[in-house]
Parts: sequence; C-alpha cells; structure tokens
Amino acid sequence: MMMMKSFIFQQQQQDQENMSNLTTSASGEASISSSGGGRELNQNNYHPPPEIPPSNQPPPKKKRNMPGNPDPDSEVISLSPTTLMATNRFLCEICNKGFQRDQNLQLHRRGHNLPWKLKQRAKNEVVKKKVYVCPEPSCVHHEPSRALGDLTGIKKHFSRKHGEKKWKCEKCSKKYAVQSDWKAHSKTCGTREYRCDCGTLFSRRDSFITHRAFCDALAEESARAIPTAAAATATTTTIPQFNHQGNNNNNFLHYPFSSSSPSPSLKKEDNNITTMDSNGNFGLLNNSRELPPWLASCPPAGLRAAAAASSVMGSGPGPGPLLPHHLSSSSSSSSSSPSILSGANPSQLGPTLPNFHSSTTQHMSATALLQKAAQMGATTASTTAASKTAGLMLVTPTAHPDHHHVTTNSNSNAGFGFAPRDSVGTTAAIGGGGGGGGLFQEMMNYSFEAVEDGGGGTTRDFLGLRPLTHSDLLSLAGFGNCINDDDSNNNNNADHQHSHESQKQPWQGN
Amino acid sequence: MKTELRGNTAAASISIQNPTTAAAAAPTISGALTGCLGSLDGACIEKLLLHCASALEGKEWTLAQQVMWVLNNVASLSGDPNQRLTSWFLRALISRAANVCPTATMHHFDGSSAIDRRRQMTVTELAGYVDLIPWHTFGFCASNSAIFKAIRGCSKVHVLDFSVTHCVQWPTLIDALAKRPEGPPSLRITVPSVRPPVPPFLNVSCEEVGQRLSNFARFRDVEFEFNIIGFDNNNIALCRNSMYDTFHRYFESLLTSLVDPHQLSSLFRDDEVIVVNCQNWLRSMPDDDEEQSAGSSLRDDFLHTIMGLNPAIVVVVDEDADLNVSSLTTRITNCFNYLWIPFDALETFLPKDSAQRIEYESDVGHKIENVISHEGCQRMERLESGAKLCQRMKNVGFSGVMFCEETVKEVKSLLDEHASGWGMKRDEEMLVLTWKGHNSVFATAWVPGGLGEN
Repeated sequence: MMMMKSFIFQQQQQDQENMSNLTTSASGEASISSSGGGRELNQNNYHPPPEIPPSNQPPPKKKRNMPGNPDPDSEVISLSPTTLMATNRFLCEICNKGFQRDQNLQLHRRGHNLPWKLKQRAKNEVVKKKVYVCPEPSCVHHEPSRALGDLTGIKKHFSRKHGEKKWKCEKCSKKYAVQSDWKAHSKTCGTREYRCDCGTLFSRRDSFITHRAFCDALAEESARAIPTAAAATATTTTIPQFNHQGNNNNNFLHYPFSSSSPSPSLKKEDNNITTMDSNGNFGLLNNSRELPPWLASCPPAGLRAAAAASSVMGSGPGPGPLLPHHLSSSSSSSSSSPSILSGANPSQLGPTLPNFHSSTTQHMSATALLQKAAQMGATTASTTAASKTAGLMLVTPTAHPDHHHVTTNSNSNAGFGFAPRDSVGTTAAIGGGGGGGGLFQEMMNYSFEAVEDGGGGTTRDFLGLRPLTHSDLLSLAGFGNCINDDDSNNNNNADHQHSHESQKQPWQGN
Repeated sequence: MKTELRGNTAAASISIQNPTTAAAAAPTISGALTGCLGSLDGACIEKLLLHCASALEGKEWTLAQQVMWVLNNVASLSGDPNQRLTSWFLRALISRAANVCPTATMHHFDGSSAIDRRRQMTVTELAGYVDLIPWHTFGFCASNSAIFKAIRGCSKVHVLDFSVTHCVQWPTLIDALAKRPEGPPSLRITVPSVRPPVPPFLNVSCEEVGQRLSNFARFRDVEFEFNIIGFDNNNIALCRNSMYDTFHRYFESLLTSLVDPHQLSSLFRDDEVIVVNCQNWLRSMPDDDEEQSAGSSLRDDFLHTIMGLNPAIVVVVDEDADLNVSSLTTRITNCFNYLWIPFDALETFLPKDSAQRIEYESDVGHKIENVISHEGCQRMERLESGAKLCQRMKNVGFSGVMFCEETVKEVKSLLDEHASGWGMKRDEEMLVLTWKGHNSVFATAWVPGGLGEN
C-alpha cells in the first residue's frame, strides 16, 4: 500500500519575485493572499494548486474538523517562511491596504461600497478546507500527513519551533517565541506551589495529589501513626477465585502467586518468582534469555565486555539502567575505534546509530545509499577479522584487494558475484563505520562466525540473504538502461553462477 | 513528488531515470527512494518501512536487509523525533524478521520480545511518568469527573479497575470524594491480579500499591477497601504457554467467574454501586475470532459480562488508532502516522538526551514492536479507533453518556498546564485529546441500555 504524498513547494525565489510584483502598497510591504477572495492572485503567479494527499484511514465522519490525518479533501498549502510570518497578508485590491486577517479585510472592503456581488466569494469556487505545512524541510510538520489545520497554528508552530525566542519569563527565565505562550506561562509561573513532605514541588494540584498518595513520605507517616478507630479502614485482600469449588477445569494455569497479606511491609523479594511476579508483570525477572548480539546492539568486539559488565538486562528491583546522559556526546569520537556504538549504553534500547554523520546522512543521496546498500554484500567471510578491527561496515576494494574481484564480470566472483566499482567504494562518507551502523556490522559478524563457509562459496548472512550483484542493484535502482541485458536477470544469473561453481548442470552429464 | 534538492549532494549529478522500468513487478529500493533525492523525510521513511515489510512478507531477504540498512542510516535514538521513531520501527521490523526466520537467527532467542526486560519504575516515578504529557492524565481526569458525577448521592461505591497504570488514577478521585459536600462514600477498588504485559512496569506488587492507596484514603478520611482478584496459592506451576496466552486465559477464567452467581456474591455486595473503569485495557482483549475457541471474541464477552453487572457507569479510555488490522503494511502505516505524536510532544519540552524522554519513547517502542513483529496471541496491542469502539459498545447494548460541561472545563484546565499543542474536542459521545489537531486519546462513558443521560 503505497501512498503518494505530493504537494507543491513554493520556492523562495519564486516568492520574492512574486512579492515584488505585488508591491504596490504605499507601505512597501509585500503580501500575498492565500485565500480565494475575489482576486485569484495565486493562480497567476504560483504553481498550480497543490494536490490532495490521500488519507490513511477510512474517510472520517463529515463533522470532524481534524481527524487523525488531514481531511482527504483538504488543500495543502505550503508557504515560505517569509510569507508565513508576514503580518499583513490580506490585501485590499482597491486601496492596497494590508490586513492580518481575512475577516478584517472583508470588513474593510465593505467600506468601499462595492456592488453586492463583488463582496461575496465566487459562487462556483469550492472552498476547500486548507491545511498548512511547515516550510522547514527537516520539520515533522513539513509533510502533508502532519499538516496543521489553521494558519495561526502553523504560524505559531513555526515561531515556536524554528523561530527566535524573544520573550522571557522574569521569574524563571524560561524563553518563548510566541508572545501568547509567554503570557500564559507568566500567569501561572510561581503562583501556586504545592510541596510534598519529601521536598518535591508541584505547580499543579492533581500532580501533587497523585504524587503524594504514593510518596514514601506518606507511607512512613502512616506506618508511624497510631491506628485510630476512624471510619477510614483500609484493607487489602485477595479474593480467591477459581479453585474453591474444586473446579476441575484443566485449562486453568495456576499462577505462582503469593497470596497477599494486609501487612504494609510486603516484601518485594517474595515476588521475584519464575516467570511472573505478583505485579502481573511477565517475564521481567528472567534474565536467562539472551539476546542476539545484534538485537541487543552490543557493540562489536571490545565494547561487548563493557556492555555486559554494565548488566543491562534489567534485573531486580528499581528502574533499570537508563541511557547515560553522555549519549549525545557519543558521536564523532568513534571514527577511529572499532566501536560503532561508542560510549553509550543503549543495549536495552536497540540499535543506535551515533549521530556523527547524521547531518551528512540526510544529505546523502538516495543513489548513494543504494550503492552502499549493495556493498553490504561485499563483506565476505574472509574479511570477518578485518571488519571487526577496522570497524568498517563497508570495505573498500582497495583495502582488501585479495578478497575482492574488481571486475565487472560477476562470474569470477567466489560466490558473491559482487563487483564493486571504485567510484562507489568511497568510504569517506562512511567514515568510521558510520554508514552501516553497528546493527548490520553485528549481523554480518555474527553470521560469519556462525555460518562461515571456508571457501566463502555460499556464505549467507543471518537472514539467509544472498547479496545481489552490483549490477543487480543498479538495475533495481533504475539504471537498467545502462547495463547489459545479461544482467537484467540479476538474481537468476547469480544463482546460475553459484550452481555452476558447485555443481554441474544436469544436462552436462558426468 | 517532492522535488526539492538540498545542497549540492552527489545526487545532484545523478538522476534516477525511469525507475519504473526496473523490475516493476517487484518492490525495489528505487521505488522506496524515488522522490527522496537528497533528503529522507517522514513520507520517505514510511515508504521505506512499507517496502521493508513487504519484502519480509514476500521473503525477499536481500531487499529487506538493504532497506533495513538504509533505515538504519536514518534511525537514531537520540536524534530528532522522526529519527527516533524510525529507530523503534526498525527495531520492530528486525524483531519481526527474527520471528519469521528463527533458524537464521541466534540461538537462545526464543522469539519473544527483545524489550521484555523492561525497566521497572517506583510508584513515585510512575506518578511523574504519567504526568509528563497528558496522554494518560487526560483519560484519568475525564473518567474521574464522569465517575464522580455518576455516584452523586451514593454511599457505597465499588470500582472495578481495569487499567495498565497501576491505580495512579485514583488519588485525585479519592481527594475529590473527600471534599464532597455530603461526605465521601465508602469506596472499594478492585483490580485483577494480572495485567497485560505492557509498559509501564512497576517494581512493587499490586498489594503494595493498594496499601499506599489505602494509606492515602485513610489520610483523607475516606473509608476504603482494596481488593485483588487473584488465585488461591495452592498450585505453583510454571506457565508453559507464553505470557500472552496466560493473560488471555486468566481473563477467560475471570469472566467465567463474573457470571457465576456464587462467585459474584463473594465479589460484590448488595448495596453498592458498581463502576467499571477501562483505561488502555480493551485493546489487549483479543478480538480475533480465530483465537477464541468459543467462537466469540473475548473483547465482546468482557463487555457483555460488564454490562451484566449493571454498573452505574462504565468509562472506556483508549488510544484513537486502528492497529488491529491483519495487513502488516496497513498496521505500519497506521502506527507510523499515529505514534509520531508522543515523539513530537516530548520534543517540545525535553532535551534530546533526557532520560525521561527516552524511557517514555522506549515504552512507545514496545508498543510498536508488539504491533509489528508479533502475530497471533503474542500481539497484545489490538487497538481499535474510538469510532469503532463506540460502535462496539452500542452493539453490546450500552448507551453513551455525554460528558458535562464541568468535566470539559476540568479537562481544559488540565491541558492548559501542558504544552500548548494539546487540545481537546468533542465528537458525539467522545472526548478526544488532540495534539496539534491530530487525535490521540479518546474518552467515553457508558451506561447499560436505555437512555444515556447525564
């Protein structure tokens, strides 16, 4: 199920050009109307109206203003930052006075005594609901499925997120980009404070209440308090079920519960039983299961010991190890070390790609990524050791000339059918193993350890993948025209090559 | 097509020509990346995820691996919201691949979630956790307010609490009841002893939580009782089946007992008013007929049983997304276009390396993994949208109760205390929490049959 999200992006130059066309008002301000109005500015100067993004979900009920995804019939508007932040975007065509809001413009226009029909919008114009995207390309609201429903909203968002924070609260120095946010904050800042016995401060009463109810401070106080004959009795009981009537239903699984006691000092250790503790939390305390290295994203080689030592398997009580705060600093130092996942201890949290090339990654072209993906297959069995020490996901042909056949004739490959091209084997951008990331590094390493096949003939990685030939990949990417038709049967060819090497064709006889 | 090019990248000099000529029948990376020249945005990531999923479904391992590789270049647990979200999705896909090809994966990996060993919080931490964003507190506030209204004038109240948040909802209700002009009712809260194996996880037992709640009630002079529907401790045996299966079986048993008159008498008392609270709960009740040997879904059975108790009010709160579809690609799409919300919300006020933020996100990641990499009874997360839930409730025989103006005001003032992107809207009987206009959580209130008036 593919979704095409498309909209027209209005480029900065175009805007400026258009704005200069419209600069006729005395104030010299250029403003562009985005509403239909009586004047179809948009049609003349801009790209054709944007396309409609399809909805991901079944069409919502009509009365919904803003369903989980923008209304499929809504028109996606993309304004440049300048346009967005321009204050007087609605121009009166009579006197060129600018207004911040459409309704103000309409009010003003009435004053010009226009014939009644000009005061209304064109009858045949369908007023589509408009949704707005953020002009900042890296922003999550840049794509239509995350569009916001009103212009004020997107303006505020843009200011808050990408704009300068000009407003500062005097009491707590918190900064805001939008004045109304600042005002709202100033109203409540420091006005109400609730303090728990444990010392924590709250600005909201319900947060305070919730905290207080469970706070250790209260528990201690209760334990010390003399139980009175107050009406407030508080008891905890377990209602036994299911077994009392001698129920012979063998479908029941019996739970390793300890029945509760009303004592306040229930020892938690009692609950660390086998597969389920009495929290009803399953499997939490079972540490014997091992994660495959790549899923636990243990860093390769040297760092694995370190990761193990920090016992990240979440055993015992208390919150498990959290990501250390130096995670953000883990980045660029790793370029020369074998570790892909330097510093950080993200074992609980899955594959982490350090950000040292995050900015370059974003700029890496699709084609470059494809080409690098193709090279993944190039890390042959024989380069296992090299991969580990070099910490490189992708190995250049030059680094291991004896293992790579630098030729376009895939037949001669010892089983990978991979012929990397020099121009593609640039590790510069990949750097210290950044391109592939620890995840696949580990996948490769592990699979080679487990499955290594000596001659490297039929080595496969963990998913049983057979790496594509480079030409396979290029043709997949659409470069098919540039390549021989021989290679267009990509997979089949490679298969045949493999079988040629390892066995004779049936028709060849003995 | 997104035609913008960023900077002078190598891409500028290479154009992908006629991508459709290349093996058009098979999904390709070119298909995924067409239109993403120079930048990988959310739409692109989504396409890549879908490509990966269909590659896995079609057993095209090479393609799957390559798409994963590309995704891995985007993913980052400490990057911007899209990167973080991608990271969890990628993990889920890998987990799925591992489930699908167990022989190709490592020994010892028994196929259950890699994120099973979750951190456990203290109750205090949990209180702070639910306070980060109004995702949970919205439901608490709306529900407590509706419950408070429904039990006006009642002197004995019994709440059946089906929730994954370990009773953090109740202190505010107890507090409100304590301040009631006619004085507080005597309050009983009953919880099942088993909850779905989903975060947030607590490092103390149910009993301990109940004890603390009791202390608090005593402190506020509210007569209070806390009950756990558990099992007799005669047989201690290992659960041989998966934890998910266990949960379902427990519930089947529970439901059986809830309709058994003899059992009922030990659970309920004659003069008490019954309130049922379902927070993020129904989604864990299986709805898939295939999995129920009885032929009807556990979810509907649960609702029928609840209705049979003749409660004064039933509040149902859950997340507004359709994640219980059989098509993997649809699930990925729906999941991706829904769960960006908490990531985006957390980004507004927590720094990239905030531990709280990362923990919260990893819990969302747990959900993502469950939705994507698991099938059958292991897939606990079977969310249905608010609209569907409402229809289901009506089919079972409930009538919706509109939230009154006071409730709306209370919820609004709660939201005012959070980031300004949070909003609220009404949709028939639903109250919906919105983030920047997009639906996130819905809250509803119901009564059995008849008229649903305030």
